[in-house]
Amino acid sequence: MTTLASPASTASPSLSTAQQGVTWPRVVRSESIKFWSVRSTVWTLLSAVLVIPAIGMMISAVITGDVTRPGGTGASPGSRFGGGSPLDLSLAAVDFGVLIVGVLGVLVGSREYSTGQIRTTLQAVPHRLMVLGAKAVVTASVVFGAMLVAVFAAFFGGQAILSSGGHASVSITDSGSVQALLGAAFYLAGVSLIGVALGFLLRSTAGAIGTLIAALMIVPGILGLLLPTSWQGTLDYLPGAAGDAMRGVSNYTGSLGAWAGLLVFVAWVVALLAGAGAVLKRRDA
Amino acid sequence: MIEVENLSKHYGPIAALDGMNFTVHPGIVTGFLGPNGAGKSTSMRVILGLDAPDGGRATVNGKDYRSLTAPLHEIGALLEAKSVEGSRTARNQLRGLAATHGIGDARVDEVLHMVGLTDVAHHRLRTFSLGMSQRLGIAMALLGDPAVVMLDEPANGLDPDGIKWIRELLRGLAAEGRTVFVSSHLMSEMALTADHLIVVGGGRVLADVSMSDFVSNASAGSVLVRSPQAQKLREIIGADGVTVTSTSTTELEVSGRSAASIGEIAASAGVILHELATRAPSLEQAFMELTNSTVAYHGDAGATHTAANAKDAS
Repeated sequence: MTTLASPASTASPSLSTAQQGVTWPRVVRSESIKFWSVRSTVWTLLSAVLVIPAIGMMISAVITGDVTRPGGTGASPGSRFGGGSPLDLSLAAVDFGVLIVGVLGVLVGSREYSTGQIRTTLQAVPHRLMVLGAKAVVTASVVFGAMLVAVFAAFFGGQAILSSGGHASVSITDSGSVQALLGAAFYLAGVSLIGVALGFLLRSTAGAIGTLIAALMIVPGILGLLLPTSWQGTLDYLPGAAGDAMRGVSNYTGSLGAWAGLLVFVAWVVALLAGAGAVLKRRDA
Repeated sequence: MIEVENLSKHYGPIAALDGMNFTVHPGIVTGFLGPNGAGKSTSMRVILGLDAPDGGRATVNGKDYRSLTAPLHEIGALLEAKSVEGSRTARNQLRGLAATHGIGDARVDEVLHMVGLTDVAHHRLRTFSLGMSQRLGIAMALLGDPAVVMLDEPANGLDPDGIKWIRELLRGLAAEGRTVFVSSHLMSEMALTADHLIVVGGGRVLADVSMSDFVSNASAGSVLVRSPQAQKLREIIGADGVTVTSTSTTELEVSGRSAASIGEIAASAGVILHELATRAPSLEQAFMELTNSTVAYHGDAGATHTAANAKDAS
């Protein structure tokens, strides 16, 4: 703060003209720098990476009886998680991770609006869809990569605990294992994109987080109670249920196959991002 | 060069821009002056393609902002200095911006040095004072070495040293042939920095004049005369376009006649003068008279009587 350079040190107006200007890879690089240079996104991501294997292994340990609840003398402790396959037990925390990566996505989308940074971003990149696209690509690839690590750690850690505790376990080569793991990472990345889209649509962190939780956790339950029996099939097309079908979770009771679930889930993500893009293009920043 | 043609924009029933028209030329510092709510920031947001106008058009170097392929090289702008994410460091803030145009870290460090923030380059922005944030904002504006520099209230929050620094910086940028467009609501700051003034109020341009014209118009002012023979003098200096008011029996305030002319008349009539002084109204006063009728949020005092003057002046 103490050294004041003289104005004359400004470079001359003619900069080297080689490859000037905004390009798609440059915008992706910029968004990547922005993603990693803010604490909240990095910590949120890290917490998901730690929590998913930690809870998965904890639940596996509870099931095998290595860990008992205080005062828990009742029936087999595993009955609490009854019905879950060994695979699902180790991945039980994915449903919790959804909240974390959803919030992460919301932060990527909405935070620049709450700070005003979005105006600087759009000044540098007037082609607004590039900004949305770059944020989506960076968020989805970072979340997918990190969640792949998290779910594989949860799987191997959880299965090791289950088998050493004498409980039924599965191996990575068993049918359904790879689908469940890749599906979980893909699902988490998709949810983070839903968060990004909601952040851009609502421009408010609290509003977007509330909407995300409602859409994934509350609306399916309420609709299940309100809809007549003949309409219950529509619930299969909500993003959460479609994600379950895609991942092949063992207690899935809906009608969609894995590929249909994947298609429906991707359609939700694409539709929300398209809506966010339309709003971003039209509204004042 | 920035060209603004007949911009209009409404927020609900309120017209933020009401036929805004001006051109900002290269090689000089142009001051964009007006009270709060006059439409300065809205104009700048429209110029930067952030807000869409209801009507009219704004161009930078002849092009619509949204069609620019390398905007940071065309125009560098500072809107609100505190519009940054607090947990990012100053250097990373610049790196993120620079990456969009493939600008390297060497240039990032260069602009940090230019604005005097090298020592705090790795500090988080939430620890920055308003003055430091302004400097960072100026660094962001200069990052692409743009031909046009547009700053919204850059002197806000700067200490006297910083204000002097920014004045020299802006004058230096203009001397290099760049277009420099700076808003302020303080005439006193503009008087020392700007070569040209665009005065706005109520979403319209009230005056588009060179600083020297603005100063000489404002200085037309009045002449204070103290004389034991004030009443006699009053009779002989009267003419078309000359108004004389007296505050006491020995004092006159004359407008429409120069001090020199009053002195000559007094001498030839043998009238004794005790004091003959030109009273230039301050530039601040001239500015306020120009804009008073359009100020959106008046205090109670002195709000009504200057409206007619403002109309004449514009």
